[in-house]
Amino acid sequence: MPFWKRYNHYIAIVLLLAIPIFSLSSKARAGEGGALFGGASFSQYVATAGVGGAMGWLSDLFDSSSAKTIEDLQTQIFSLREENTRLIGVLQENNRLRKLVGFKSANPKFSLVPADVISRDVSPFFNVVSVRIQTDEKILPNQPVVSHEGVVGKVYRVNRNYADIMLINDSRSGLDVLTQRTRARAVVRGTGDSTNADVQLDYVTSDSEVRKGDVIVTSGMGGVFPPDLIVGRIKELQPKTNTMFRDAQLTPAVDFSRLKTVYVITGKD
Amino acid sequence: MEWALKTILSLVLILGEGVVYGLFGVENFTLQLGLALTIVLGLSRDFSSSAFILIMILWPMEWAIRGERGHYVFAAVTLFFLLRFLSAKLKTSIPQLFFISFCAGMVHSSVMILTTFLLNPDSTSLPSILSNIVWAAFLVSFGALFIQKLFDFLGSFYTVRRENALGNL
Repeated sequence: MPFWKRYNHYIAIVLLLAIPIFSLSSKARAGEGGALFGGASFSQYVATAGVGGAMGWLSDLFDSSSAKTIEDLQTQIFSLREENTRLIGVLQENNRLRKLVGFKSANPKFSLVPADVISRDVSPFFNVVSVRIQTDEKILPNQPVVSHEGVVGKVYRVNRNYADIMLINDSRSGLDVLTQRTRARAVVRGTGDSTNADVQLDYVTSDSEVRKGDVIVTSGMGGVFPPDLIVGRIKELQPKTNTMFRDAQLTPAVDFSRLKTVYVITGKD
Repeated sequence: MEWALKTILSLVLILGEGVVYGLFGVENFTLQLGLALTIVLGLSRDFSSSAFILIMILWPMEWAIRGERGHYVFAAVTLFFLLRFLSAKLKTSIPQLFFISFCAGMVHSSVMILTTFLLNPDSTSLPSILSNIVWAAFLVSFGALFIQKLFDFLGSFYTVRRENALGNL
């Protein structure tokens, strides 16, 4: 009997155990992702481009077959609608760029590196997205990531042009913040609850002037995020009691389900 | 060749799942197809081919999960061996498969909690795993049903081809 046929069960068991044990013993807990991570990110980028392309092709096919059957007037209506949609898109883009220009002028020492979201973590336990960096600029772990809406998270792992971004609603994420109105200090922590996008606002002192609806911004403490970036708005606030701190819930400014393009803030040091 | 096709399909599903979630912004309804595959493979009759498929998909599963390294796949392998041990005693009709997958999902999360607690006691991902344990198990049950149906379809396709080939002889 050949060696493989005779011992295939044992070989399979050894290999099955070896992979997770090797992975568990890997010292690179965060930071550099390795070549395997890069390969997976590349294949996911190709898949994203492929699915996007296929959707566009199907959309074009549908449009061309419909165009044959509709009246001239309907064609005009469609083209006008299309133009209108495009103009709305241009206005939104303009608005986004204006906000980014505002950030640039307020923080001239930083630069924004654009990155496209290519995939998400597939488990409900972790809130991480993978991005493809659009430029050749070197990205480092822990660099802050923003969108035109506000703070997204920070770089978790990097491999060449690909990076994993840990969102602020991940349970491993913590962020030093201030209320914009009264400059009261607090810490934003991700709950990790996949059924609720809100995050926790910890260490709000009972005597601080904080109320529902207050805008929360980054404090600049901790050395990761620049100050005064919008994080979110207070949704729920525990009434004042005799305890030292009050619990609060925050609705993030960024809608994480609609992330397409994000910006890594580089050039701090 | 059936196992080779299943392996390729499994790899496509694991890599494609994150891409689809990224494109459509899915946050709450993640089926964890990698874990679902592990459950279906653990319950299948042939150890060698299912173990081989699992070996091939473990690294992609590790890439697809952006948590602390190794914990997710370690729990998946533990679950695979547990299901192999119990598979002779378990019936896998659709309602039973749903229930077994739900329990398997809970066991997987529990093993993750245990390994995280033992190896990374300072980790802040424990509350996240704990708060999502039931929801994750519920969703993975649907993932397992989907994978089982897909594998059954592939199996029937190969059975028909084999019968046709024997008929031609």
